[in-house]
Amino acid sequence: MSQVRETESHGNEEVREVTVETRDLTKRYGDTLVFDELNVEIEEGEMFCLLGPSGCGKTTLLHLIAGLEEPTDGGVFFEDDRVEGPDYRRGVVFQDPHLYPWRTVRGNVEFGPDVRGEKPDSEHVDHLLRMIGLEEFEDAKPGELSGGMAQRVSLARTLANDPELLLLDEPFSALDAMTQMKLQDELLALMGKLDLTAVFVTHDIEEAVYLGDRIAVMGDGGEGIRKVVDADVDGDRDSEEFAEKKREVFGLFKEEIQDD
Amino acid sequence: MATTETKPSKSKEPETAGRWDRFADPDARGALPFVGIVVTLVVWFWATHPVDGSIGPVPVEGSIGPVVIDLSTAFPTEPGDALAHFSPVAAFPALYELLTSPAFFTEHVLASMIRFGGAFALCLAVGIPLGIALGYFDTAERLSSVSFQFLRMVSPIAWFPVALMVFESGGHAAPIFIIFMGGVWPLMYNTAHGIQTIDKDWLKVADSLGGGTRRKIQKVVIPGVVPEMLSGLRLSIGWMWILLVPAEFLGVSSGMGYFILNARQQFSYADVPAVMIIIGIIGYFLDLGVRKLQARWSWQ
Repeated sequence: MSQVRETESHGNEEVREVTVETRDLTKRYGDTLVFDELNVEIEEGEMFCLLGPSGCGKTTLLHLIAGLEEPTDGGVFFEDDRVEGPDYRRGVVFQDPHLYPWRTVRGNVEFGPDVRGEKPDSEHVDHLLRMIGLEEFEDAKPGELSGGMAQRVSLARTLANDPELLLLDEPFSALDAMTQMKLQDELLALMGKLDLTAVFVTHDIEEAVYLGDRIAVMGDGGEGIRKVVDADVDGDRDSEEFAEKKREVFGLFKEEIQDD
Repeated sequence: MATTETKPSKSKEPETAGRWDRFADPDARGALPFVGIVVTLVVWFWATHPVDGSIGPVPVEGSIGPVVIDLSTAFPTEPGDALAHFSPVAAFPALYELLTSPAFFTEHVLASMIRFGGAFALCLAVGIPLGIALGYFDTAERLSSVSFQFLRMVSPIAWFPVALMVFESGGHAAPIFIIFMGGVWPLMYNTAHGIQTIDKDWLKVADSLGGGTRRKIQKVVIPGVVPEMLSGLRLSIGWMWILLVPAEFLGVSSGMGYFILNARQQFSYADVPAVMIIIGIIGYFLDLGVRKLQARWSWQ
């Protein structure tokens, strides 16, 4: 994908920049501990997946990185600055598209610059609409779109802000399997083109292995990150390497599976 | 990136739609509304038309044998009875007179519309900003809730003595004030409620995209609350139109409310139902206008 990644995969010594870092990050809701003193570094240009069962705190961690929630203790640092609140440079794509129903597709994509008081760059918006394949639907209203189309618009809306970090919260989980696979490929292509760093939350092992460069496997009950797995396998879902990696990640969930 | 999804069907109005279709009432399709109008007219006629015996007892076939209804006793209105003054037979010629009299429009309808329009503008100017403030800022709501709920329960007509003493006699200000005092509440409270119940995820998305408070209100809260605001506006317009007539009963010598009261004093009783018809028709189209706006702004 990115230049950095290619040089690295050839064993270059080049040190990658850290984009996001959590330092002793602790989050509680009342008496319930979500995770305790969590330390993780997300490197520039990578797709970092947060994988775990529901209730493990993966979405909470994503929201903390986004600045949509506040840590109980410790902190999140984005390019060495403490995250104090939401910032358009850390763009979020939510599980539901949450499009604005009174705006057209184009109006939704333009929303980010618009709400920041900037004039939307119409060429950039054209480009994004082409990339998500919806240039013909720019005048359609969200109510007329399928789930997959709506989620593409939501992604384009986030990208229109030119974020440096893309935070995706199970963005494809509500879609059917075929649309899911198609959007996963589209996302990978976009990541390569736009040279983005991304954090991707999912509960789907295959999705994490397919998309992620690294996967943070999370456990529930305050456990936090159980292990970070390197998952830079080639993009062929049928390959032996892919199956091997899936088995490895699956093995990390033995506890949960035995519990049931 | 190729998409295989089908093109969404756009529900566009047919190009051939005539210019009058824009004024058509979406609820008034088919023949039933006309049947309703005819029934209304028949009831009006029977209740007020003097029975001089020419119709006589009418036999009606019932399931328990022939039943005889004597119209002269069922509707004991005789020539000279008070109700007879308000019969449609007298009202429609009077209505024709009014509709063909330019003075009626320039003197009375125009004055009423100016007062209604003034109160309407005041309602928008006060009701919407206050509604937004009440809905968005908890402090504003708590600060004002008791006072406003109290004021809302005072009949606007009770303000008459105050309005007549404060405002210039014969002007538009007093009726505008009375109408406004009754009409502002639904718009204000519906706007506030719409904002309180707005989809929080819309705001979360706007937060994550870097929106500040002022722009979030402009770009998310206001457009998002329009449907509920319009429901409130529809109620407000109903209230204001109803209040127009009593608001013109005192202190003015123009307007349709004044005209009704004056018609009684001048013994031109047939003018009363005639003006009622005109008031009803204008009110109907005001309501229809808001319903058209609602249809345009609905996304369900």
